[in-house]
Amino acid sequence: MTIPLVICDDSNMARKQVARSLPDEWDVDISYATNGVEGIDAVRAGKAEMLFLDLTMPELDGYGVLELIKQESLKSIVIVISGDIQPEARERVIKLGALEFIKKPINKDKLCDVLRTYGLL
Amino acid sequence: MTETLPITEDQRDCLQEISNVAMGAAAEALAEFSKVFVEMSIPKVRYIKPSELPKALASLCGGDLISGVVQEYNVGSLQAYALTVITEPSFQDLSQQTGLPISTDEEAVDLLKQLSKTITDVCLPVLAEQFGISGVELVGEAKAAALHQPLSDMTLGEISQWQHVLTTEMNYHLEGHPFNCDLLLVTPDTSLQQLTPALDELLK
Repeated sequence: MTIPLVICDDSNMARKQVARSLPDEWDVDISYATNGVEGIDAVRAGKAEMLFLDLTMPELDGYGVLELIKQESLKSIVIVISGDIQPEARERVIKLGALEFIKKPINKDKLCDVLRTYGLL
Repeated sequence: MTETLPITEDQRDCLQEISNVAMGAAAEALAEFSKVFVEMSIPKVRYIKPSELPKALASLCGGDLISGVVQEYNVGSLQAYALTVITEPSFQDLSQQTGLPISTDEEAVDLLKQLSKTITDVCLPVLAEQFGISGVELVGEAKAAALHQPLSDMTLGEISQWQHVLTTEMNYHLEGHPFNCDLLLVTPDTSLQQLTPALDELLK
């Protein structure tokens, strides 16, 4: 079944990098969000069974998106993809409900490993 | 005034994104140095005359006195200057967090140099790595650019000789602390010839 997927990052290049890193055989319907507000709107609209989420973004950052998902009990499997490699950043997003944290720059191997680990592939 | 960027929107986005990744790596080093969680911001790319450099440090423009050091680098064939600047309240804060004294000017400059080294030693190589460049070389030693001075009184040294410079501002805050620090990467317009093809390569 096709999985609705949202890629939320303020950088056009980063969104493309994530899209290019998706497994070839993966049946997904991709939407893009360019900041946290667009991201949470997409989740509310049911477009994000899976959400690939950046942290440092304008309007609303990734932490804010995770907090709203939690508050509103929205259904979305969130994988954070960020350049902020402080161990505490990882701990915080996991605590806020993210499934996993992937360090930027993303590539196909890293993403596929995570998806396999969680049986999402 | 900030002038129109001499690079395309895609190239700017690319530079901002690779700076964001480099900044994230440096945030970890700064968090370890200061023992506090580092709040990141979005890097800001500008194109200005050297005399307008204070405007490229917009995150520090609160009227506080500032202190900073500048270190020149060769990133492959690219010439770059890393300007690490902090506000006055940051100094005491950082001194307390690290336990390093700042009672004399010499000690203060030493702490600035350590801060600059902590951030740039990680930031520059991570930036270069994304361009596929492994050689990041220090050129000379870090020099004080300002010590408890207004932003407009910074000593820019060699940076002043170019017509224009491309700057990338990376602002670091320590969570719950007054600490406010900018790492400003300054590239002379003469290096744009090397920079833009490198960005285009990443955009392929």
